Parts: sequence; C-alpha cells; structure tokens
Amino acid sequence: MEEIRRVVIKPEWCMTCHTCEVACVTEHSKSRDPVKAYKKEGLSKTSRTKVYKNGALSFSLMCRQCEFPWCAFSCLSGALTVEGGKVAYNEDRCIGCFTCVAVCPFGGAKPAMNGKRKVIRCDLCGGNPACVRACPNRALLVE
Amino acid sequence: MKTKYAIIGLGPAALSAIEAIRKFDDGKMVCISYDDFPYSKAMLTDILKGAEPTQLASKDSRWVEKVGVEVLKGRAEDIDLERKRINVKVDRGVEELTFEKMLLATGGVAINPIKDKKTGLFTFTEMSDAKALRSYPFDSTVVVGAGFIGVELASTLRKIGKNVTVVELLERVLPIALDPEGSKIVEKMMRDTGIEIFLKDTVEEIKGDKVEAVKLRSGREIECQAVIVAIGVTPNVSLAKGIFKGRGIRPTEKMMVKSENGKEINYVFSAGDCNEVLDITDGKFKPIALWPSASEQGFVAGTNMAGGEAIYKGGFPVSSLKAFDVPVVSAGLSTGKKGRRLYVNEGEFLRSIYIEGGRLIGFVSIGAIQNIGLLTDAIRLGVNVSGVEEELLKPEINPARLPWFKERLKVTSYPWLGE
Repeated sequence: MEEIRRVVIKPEWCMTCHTCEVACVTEHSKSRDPVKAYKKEGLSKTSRTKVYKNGALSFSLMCRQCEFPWCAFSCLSGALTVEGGKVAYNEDRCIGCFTCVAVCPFGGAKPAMNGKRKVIRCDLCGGNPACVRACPNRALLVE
Repeated sequence: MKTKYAIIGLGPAALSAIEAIRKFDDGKMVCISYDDFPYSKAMLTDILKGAEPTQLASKDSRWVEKVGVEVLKGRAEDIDLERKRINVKVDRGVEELTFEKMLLATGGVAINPIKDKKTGLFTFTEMSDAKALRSYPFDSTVVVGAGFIGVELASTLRKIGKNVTVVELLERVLPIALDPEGSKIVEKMMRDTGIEIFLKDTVEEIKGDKVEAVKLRSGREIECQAVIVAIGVTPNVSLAKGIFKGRGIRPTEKMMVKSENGKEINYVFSAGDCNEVLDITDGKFKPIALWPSASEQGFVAGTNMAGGEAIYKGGFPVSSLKAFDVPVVSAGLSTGKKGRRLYVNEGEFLRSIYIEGGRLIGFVSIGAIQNIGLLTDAIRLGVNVSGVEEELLKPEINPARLPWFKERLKVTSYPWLGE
C-alpha cells in the first residue's frame, strides 16, 4: 500500500455530517458493519476521529502525526514509537497511563476506560484511511 | 576504548538523545549503564505484581542493535573533561573510555533522609529496589511520601493484598501535583481501597534492626515489616562535580554544560532528571523529573551533539496518575498557590485551571481527560485564554471554540526543535 504521511484536514469543506466517525468505527469493528458496530459491538465511542463545530467552523480531528510527536516522546511503556518518521502504536504495550493524552496538542490520543485503561488513536488504516474514503466533500485528504 | 559519542545513562533522556544523534550521524556510540536494558521506571510497580523485568522494557529487544549503540555495562566513576576520558567500573575491573562528545543523562537518585541501615527499609526508584521489595516477606508496610511514586506504590501494594499506611509530611496527598480539592479526591480513592493515610506526620523512629514497627512524630505507632521511602528524587550529579553549581546541572538552551566560570563546554551535554531546567510557568529553574521532559531534553541534546540545531525553551511538569480507574492529570503550576483559579467540581469530575496575566499556567483534571492535552498545549504556547475560560472547564473541550486552534491545526512541527 502507498505510504501516506498523515490525514489532511480541510475545515472549509467540512459539513459536520459525521460520516468520517461512522467510517472509522466501522473500519475498526469486528463485523465491519456500521449497525452492528454501533449497536452490538458497543463501539459508538471509539472513533479515532471526532467532528467539532463552532458556528461556521468545523472539522474532523484525529492524530496529526506530528514531526515532533509529544505522545511518542512521553510514552512510558514503549507502546508509542516513531517508525520511519511516523508514530506507530502497539496497543498490547499500552499500560493506560494516559501520559500521551496529557501531552497531545490535538486530542489525538483518546482515553478509553471501558474496563481497562487503554489509549485509542488513529492508525491511518494502514495507509488507506476509511475517514478519507468516506468523506463526501473531500474535507479529509491524505498527504 | 574509543568512541565518538559517550552516553552516560539509559533512561528516557539517553534514549531520545541516541535516536536524535542517529538522524545525523552513524559514528560510534557507547552507552554506559548498570541496567541490562532500557526500562520504564514508571512501571516498576508492575514488578511487585509479578511482571518479569523484560516486560518493563521501554524499547524492543532489537533496539540496541538497530540504532547501533554499544552498551557498556558498568558505572561511570570519574570523568576527566580535559582528556575526554571516563573511567567505567565494569565487572572485570576498570575500563577507560575516551570520547569526542559526551552526554550526562544520569537521572535522579532517591531522596532518603533515614540514615540507619535496616532490614526492611527500602527506596523505590531502581529495578534492584523493586526486585528486593518483591522478594522481601511482609504483610504490612509504611510508605513514606504521598507523591506520585508513593501513591502508585501504595495502590499497587494494596492491590496485592498488603496492609498499607501512607505517611505524608505535608497536609495532603500529591501536594506538588494537585490542588487541595484534587488531593481530597485522590485521598478518598486511596482510603476507599483500604489504604491508611496520616498527613502532616512523618516517621520519627523505626523499631528493630529488622523493621518491626515505626513511630510517627505524632506519637502513633504502626506495626509493619517494611518501610518504603518514596519522598522523591533529586538530580544525580555525583559525576558532574566541578562543572556545575547548585542542586542540578543547568545546561544552556542547547543542553550544553557550562563550567563553573560560566564557559560553555561544547562537547559535554546533559539531559533529563540530572538537570535543573527552566519552568516556563514561573521562570524558575528546577528539576522536572518526568518522562516527557527527559525525552524532550534528550532530543535537543542529541540533535546538537550530532551537528543539528535544536533549542530547549524550557518546560513544565505534566503528570498522569495510573493508580486508579479514574484518570488524574495535572500540569504546570497546579497546587493552587499561584494564579487565578477557575474550577468545576461535580464530584465525579474536577477541573481546575490557573490563569495569570491572561495565560494558562496550570490545571488539574480528574474524571474527564479527553482533549486535556489542549490545555497542556495552551500552557506551552502561552496563548491568551481570556474569553474562553468556560470552554476550558468543559469535560471535553471543543477545540473549534478555541480562537487559536484553527491556526494551531496547521502546525505539527516546531522549528526550534530542529524539525
């Protein structure tokens, strides 16, 4: 698959339709079915991207893949590392200390607390992000 | 042995310096450490829960080979700056290491005011401490100090079935990281698990050569078989005598060490808990003995050591408690002593923000931390938060409501960090 650097956010094109969130949850579900993912798998709060709105300004926001990734520099357990210039996440190593949540300037590291403390974050869907594919107005692109 | 780069230490400052150097230069690098592999001290409590030391590794097992660093197992004993030479005590004697550039990333040492040597008396900052405590039989313990190490440790010991008493000299738990209301919440969480806490008190006497009980200043006596001193750490500067004044090393903004007469020594750098660095929230120099700070300092040091350009503009503490299910995060000046306090306290959710001159200087958040890094970023950027204070108190801050965020969204690199 083609290497991508990050998902590009275009606030001017976002219509707050939240399609990106549904696409993200579905992509990361077992069933790969939106209805099952939300209703049966209980994944409604697990979108790696989130739409925020204030008047005319809106955007879908996920990990920005910072050149200086505070998250990886702060990770106590080696779950977040920099691989080939990008942040990689090994969920098995996450101890849920939430230090990355405390330092991420974009809310890209999301705390999950259902049962076990873990962090949820954008994994770029391996190079072909579901949110970008789903966005009907090209408010999300890749670079 | 000869090397281009000598790194003393194997903690977060050393690791990020090593990786930063490797972006520019593949010259020979030797890292001196008494540890077998890089591990996370913040995870030491896992050892008590039965984890294997390798489960605490902060890098995968091939990392050393991948970055091309030779780990010399031993302790640096003395440094001859003029001859650029380090004597390293190794198993088979003393190894002499000559270098071109050196990084001091010697970390911190546990503060332990109890001078008597007793069986059952521990500190808890090293792998060896954790192993020793794990293999020591005890049912009841007194933990001295209710800072992050003390609270995490007490919580873990309670989880594995020990009777735990925490004694803190100040009037509340986590007195440096939280404000009084935050402390109250954490204190309740601790008590709810069955931990006993005595505040404004301290251990005056330990009874028995092998610990049998402690006597507190208040007169109370507590039976216990182990006393664990977790008061904190102080910069480990035993190697740096003669090249600094004060509590910790104060390097330049390139993390270059200065001699006693103030002259830069352009081949010696220092990073991490051995340093005192600028806290941008109050303009004071202090050790910021936390992982993120050490990593950033190491990154700046490594970049400059290898011919890149990066500047450390100062930092501030950011910490997150992992002891309980409820998340507890704080940053900057968050004890309530400084700044105008605005807060929401709804029992399950506490958020305090501290503002000075229109700028955010600190916060405490308990119970809800989604997007909390936006506050950390606001402290770092020094943006004016006037008019959006209410938004900053929401459990989940809406970044679209922050006037600086649309521009912030375009920035993922920081030129001063050489990126």
